[in-house]
Amino acid sequence: MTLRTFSIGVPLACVLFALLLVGAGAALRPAPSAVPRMPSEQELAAAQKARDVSFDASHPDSLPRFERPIVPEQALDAPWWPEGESPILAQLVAEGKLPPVAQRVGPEPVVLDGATGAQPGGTSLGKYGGTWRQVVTSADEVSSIELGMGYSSLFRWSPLGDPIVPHLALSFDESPDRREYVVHLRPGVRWSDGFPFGADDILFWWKYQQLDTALGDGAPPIWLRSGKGQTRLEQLDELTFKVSFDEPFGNFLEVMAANSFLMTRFPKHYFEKYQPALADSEFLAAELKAFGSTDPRSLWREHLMRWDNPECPRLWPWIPRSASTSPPFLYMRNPYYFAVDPQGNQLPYIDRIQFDLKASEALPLTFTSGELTLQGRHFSPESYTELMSRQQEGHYRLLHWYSAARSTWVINPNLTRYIDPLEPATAKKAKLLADPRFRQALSLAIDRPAIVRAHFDGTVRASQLEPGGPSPFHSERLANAFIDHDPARANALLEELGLSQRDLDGMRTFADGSTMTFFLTFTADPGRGPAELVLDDWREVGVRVIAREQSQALFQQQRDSSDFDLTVGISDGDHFPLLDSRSFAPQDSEALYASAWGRWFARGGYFGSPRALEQKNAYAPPLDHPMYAAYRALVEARQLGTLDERVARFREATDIAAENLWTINIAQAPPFLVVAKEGLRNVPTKAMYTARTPANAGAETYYFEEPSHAADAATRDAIEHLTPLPRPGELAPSAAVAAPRNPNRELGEIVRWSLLGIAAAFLLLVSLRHPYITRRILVLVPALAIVSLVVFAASDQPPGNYLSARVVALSERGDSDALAQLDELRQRFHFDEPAWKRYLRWVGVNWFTTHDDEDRGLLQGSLGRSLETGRSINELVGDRIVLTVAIAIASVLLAGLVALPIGIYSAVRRNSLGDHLLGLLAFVALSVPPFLLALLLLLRGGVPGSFSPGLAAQSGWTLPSAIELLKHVWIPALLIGASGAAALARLLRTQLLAELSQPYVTAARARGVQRLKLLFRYPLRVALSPFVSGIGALFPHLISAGAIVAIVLGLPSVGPLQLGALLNEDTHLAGAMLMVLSLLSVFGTLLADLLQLWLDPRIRHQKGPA
Amino acid sequence: MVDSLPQGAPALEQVEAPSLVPESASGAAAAGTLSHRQRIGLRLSKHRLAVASLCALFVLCALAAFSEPLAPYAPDARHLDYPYAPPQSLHFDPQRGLYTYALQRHVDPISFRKQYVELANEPLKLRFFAPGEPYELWGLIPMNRRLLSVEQRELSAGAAPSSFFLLGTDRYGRDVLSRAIQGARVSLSVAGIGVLFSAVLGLCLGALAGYVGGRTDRFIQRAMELVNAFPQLPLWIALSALLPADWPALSICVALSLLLGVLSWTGVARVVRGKILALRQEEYVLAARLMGASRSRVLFRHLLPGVSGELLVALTLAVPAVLLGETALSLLGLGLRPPLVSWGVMLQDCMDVKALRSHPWLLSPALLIIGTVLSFHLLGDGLREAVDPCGSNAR
Repeated sequence: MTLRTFSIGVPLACVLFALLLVGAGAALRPAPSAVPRMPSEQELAAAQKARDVSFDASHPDSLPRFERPIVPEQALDAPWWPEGESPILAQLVAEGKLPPVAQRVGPEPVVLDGATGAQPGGTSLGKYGGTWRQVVTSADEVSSIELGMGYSSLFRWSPLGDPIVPHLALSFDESPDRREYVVHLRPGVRWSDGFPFGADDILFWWKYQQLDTALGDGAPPIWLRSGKGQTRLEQLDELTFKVSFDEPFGNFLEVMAANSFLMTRFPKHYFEKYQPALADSEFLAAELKAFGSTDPRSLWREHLMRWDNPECPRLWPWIPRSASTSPPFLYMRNPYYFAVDPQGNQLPYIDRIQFDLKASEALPLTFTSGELTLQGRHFSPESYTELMSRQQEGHYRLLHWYSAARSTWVINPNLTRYIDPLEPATAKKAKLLADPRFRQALSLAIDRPAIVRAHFDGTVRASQLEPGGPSPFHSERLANAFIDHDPARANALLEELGLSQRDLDGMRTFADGSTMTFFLTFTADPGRGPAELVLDDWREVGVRVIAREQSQALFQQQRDSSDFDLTVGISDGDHFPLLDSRSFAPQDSEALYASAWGRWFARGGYFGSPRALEQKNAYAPPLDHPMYAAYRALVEARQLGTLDERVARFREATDIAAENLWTINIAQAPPFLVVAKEGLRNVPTKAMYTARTPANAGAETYYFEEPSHAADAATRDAIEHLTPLPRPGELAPSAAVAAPRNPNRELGEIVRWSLLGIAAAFLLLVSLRHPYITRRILVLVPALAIVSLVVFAASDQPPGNYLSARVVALSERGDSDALAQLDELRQRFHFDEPAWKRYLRWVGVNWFTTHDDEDRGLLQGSLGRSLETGRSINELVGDRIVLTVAIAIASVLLAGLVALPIGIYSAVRRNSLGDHLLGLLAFVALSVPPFLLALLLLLRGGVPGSFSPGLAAQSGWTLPSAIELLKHVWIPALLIGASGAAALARLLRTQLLAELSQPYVTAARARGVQRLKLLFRYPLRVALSPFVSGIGALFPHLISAGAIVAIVLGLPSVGPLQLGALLNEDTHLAGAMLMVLSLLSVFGTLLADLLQLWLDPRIRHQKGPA
Repeated sequence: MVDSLPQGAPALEQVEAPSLVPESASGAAAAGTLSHRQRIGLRLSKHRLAVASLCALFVLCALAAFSEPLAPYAPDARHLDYPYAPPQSLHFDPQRGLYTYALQRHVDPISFRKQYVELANEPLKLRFFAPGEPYELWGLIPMNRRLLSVEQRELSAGAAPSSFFLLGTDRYGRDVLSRAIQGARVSLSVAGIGVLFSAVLGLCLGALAGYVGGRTDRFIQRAMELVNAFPQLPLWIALSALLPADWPALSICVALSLLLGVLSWTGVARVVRGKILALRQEEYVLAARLMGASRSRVLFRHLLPGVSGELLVALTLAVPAVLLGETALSLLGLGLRPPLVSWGVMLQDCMDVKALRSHPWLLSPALLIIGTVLSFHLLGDGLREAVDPCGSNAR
């Protein structure tokens, strides 16, 4: 290398580099847009009006209400007298399968006048029919059917919260000292099976569930208690019951609106069959066995009380008629629903609800596809622009509702941080987090105006978490507490705390000079939000905080043990702080900043109940803590009679919060975004979004302008025939008879086993003929042993995993229930055994002595159990392996097939233009990593919809789906195989050239052997051997590339599962996936070796390659 | 060391053009013979693509070394007036020199969609080496001049403060170009340390296998096969979970490079082993042994220097794998984390398809990655031919 070339080359490279950057800028710049059109004044005014969610809650009576009072004596003469019904039900009535509508609805129905009815000249009368479609991201989310859609409480909230209107109850009488409340239930209400509903059912709940120590808490619920005193509930007559308290109870109506749905979940005639004290013990024992439950409590919790138990009668407008385990989840209209429209037509108008399960990544696409009928969940403020500008093409309206939760992203410093005796840093962190000055400093360090501008589009006001402007409990003082951006003051506070030393990075250390690092954990639901900006601000004042995303399940465990530093939460119901006081005085474990105090309070610790101290992770605040004053304010405010008194008393709690900063918030919650399909009527433009929404916003009155009747027959069938809950224990012995096995699944099974069989037979044959192969396979044994050791070591090492988090959580709880679960975990995972024992267990060595199914391990083909769910990993992985193998094989084939002609061409036409071009192309292909290709594919529109999550685990293979897979598998295979093809082509070219220059080639040519014939007969065959070994060497790289491409594209293969498991810290699952991938690649290499053996007689006849 | 290479080496090539001999050449050059290293240099300089790659890599390294003055802005400077600003256009005319147009940000008041319009009546001059935001070169030398900065002046109403983003900005208005330049420093250092580590490992194990031979050799070879049979990325993913999350940035960087190096040494070891096996047969080694040189003297004095060329090739070819490994891990959020800026960390933003589609310039670090990897491949290829012209008679 000469200096001269360099002195020319470097400046040239500089210039070229600069040009490249300019070119890149120009290429990536979007087409220059014309000056955007300014919307007209009216459009703007309309948008601003839609965005303005403020309202005045100080005069509840002026707020909208859909429930209309009636005069029951008018009965048949009144327009509301139940006469109209859905054609589906009318048909069933005509066939004699249902009683007439008036009998079903009862003489005093709830009359609901939908949103349009309130407008002048408007009518709320709707049309029957149609399916209300919603999307959930997990099957458990469907439970919102109970609260959000059912909301079968005694009294109900209206669209904007107040006024509270009668629902299952008609009214209540309050004694002057507010110690006795007599509730009158609505007459004629029936459960969804036609059985009358009455005070019996409420008393059953009270006596046989709530106060039952085995089935319930053994004590009144926290929301139905006042002070230290007792609560009594007694039945006065069929429709009347009385609640009495030892101390005054102030906000009975609000509490009923919020919580009384819990009182009406237990139809006596259904649950008494399962209540040990009342039930026929033989029947109960049989049912316990059939459901595979060990005790009645788990039977109730895991089966009977579930929202999708079709056998349990309900009071909801839409009810489950079969417990489906796979989506879509369907809920049908309740023929006995007790509400009508002002013209006496039975509600609801919409026939059924359908929940579709979607991966959360696929959600942004669903709203524009026009699938959703009305949906409030899952629309993050970040997608506002997208949602707002696509209303026309997606045929929906974007509604802005007021959010009762007053923050979508609030930082909870953990005041009751768990102190790990093995980690001294946790004690120091706990001390700091509990110090109000530290929290104040963190709050003052945040530049809220900048975040509001950068992250919230400047639409919301910077504020701490408080009940919000429309709430009577609004506190301006709390809203503005420590929200100024004042790094100097923050620094001063931190210095005051003794955090004056700095480490190498310039970050503050603990007072003793050790490194100080906090973690800010967040789950997918609040999301990353403005975390990066906040952390930058904290870094400015020298506090190192690292953001870490965690799975919901893992975080749940850490919350139970309070083992986290700071976490991001979504608040809930701050609008009603006396009902949900979590942000101001922890009332249960949902108060993330002090969940231990919350548990203590929830179990009556504040009133000296001994139950409060049963759990280790429930304890009281330190004796002189200001939290006691906040609790006192909360408890006393709840006892006061009028709203004004309650507000005045509660002010102390918000003032204390303003001083102590329990939470650190950035800004108020932006409007809650609700997508409503075009043509859906009676949807109010303004409503408050709470956990009881859309029920409070008149969900029963929504109707389609043009309802579809496609599903009518299915709906009628479902209403007519109930599908009972499957009883797994009953099915087990005769599974084949009761449920014919899915033939598709069987096909997959057959394909799998026959493939395995063919492979085994082939290997056996080959190794009989060639002892070398036997040796080659024998070498594999120690290799696999080492692979499994490495995988085990890699997956066993991380100090924190899901299991240890769960173990800490359970031992922190420390009650008998938790200890029993701990024992079960110990039996299942043997976590206190030494590592080598666990390794042997994992490999499956123990099975040889016990032959116990539980002891199956890798050698028996069992990948172990997931730490998180306890389910078998084989089941979880399911057909992901098939897809992974398919992609790997396709990419190898593709790489080989592409490389072969290119390699031959460039060797034969050596130094031709084509050779040079192909050579350069190969270098470029080598240099573009597969994940970039995948990103480019995403940019171009992603993978065509063949790799839906439906293709993933447990779906079973059908012929069409297999063909569909084969049709599309080449796309990822191309991305993965491109660089491999380049490497192989270069390899082949080199080998072939070396061979072509051999004298025998010249000799053969001289004797007139045809070029092509010669090429294919000798040199190519020789060159092919290293080519094949090259494929073998490439295989592990293809597996690697396949993993990352699958992750980027979201394909349901093994790689993404490994990453997901790591996020969950489910190290068993992650390790198992790594093992699968390693095995694949080891076997791929072996296969290439065998192929080489077949191709190359030299190796066969020798004793094998050196 | 290399200059004193064996007299018994294969016959020397004749130099056609003595004028090409570098000034630094030793006395041997004057006598018409060239040292091993000089011959490699000569052959390499004929490989045009390799020379070009070397120049490109030199520029890239300079960029990484002097990222502070070369970047128009600090990598973490947030321009909150310009979230997701597109790349600005660059113009030249003889009077004004280089200039660009000021951007006007337009926010749709209904959907809050942000659009940027170039104001043709507001040209902004670009200046070279003008004082800008102060910074510290390598964290030591306080400076304030930057290679390229934009003139700061009052603009007509409605325009945001003057700015120049050649490659646009990200969601918080951080200049993509400045971050890419800073990212070059981090990405290249991680790759460099990783490769150095794998070089040390590979050299030791390869030399051991080649020189000791026998059972040791077989054992090391099996180990290499085993490491090669692992799919690297999934293993890296698993191992990166072992990195304690609360380590300071620098430690994470080093730990990650070691992790990447742990799996990349086999290429180096294979080459070193092969070369040492070959050199062991050479007569000069036998001579040294007969003269009573100790085993370690033979290894360190006579064998290892002969490996240097092949080692260089193997190292050059090992860089892309390590670089891409770091990028892939950071892309998945498992490698480096903000506030560190590497190319992979920058590409994290691209995982959000929606953001990527409306802001394709976020992909621009990918160009640098491809360019770097391509350069290393080409340079490695050229080097290999230069070091071992016989083995690659193909070209």
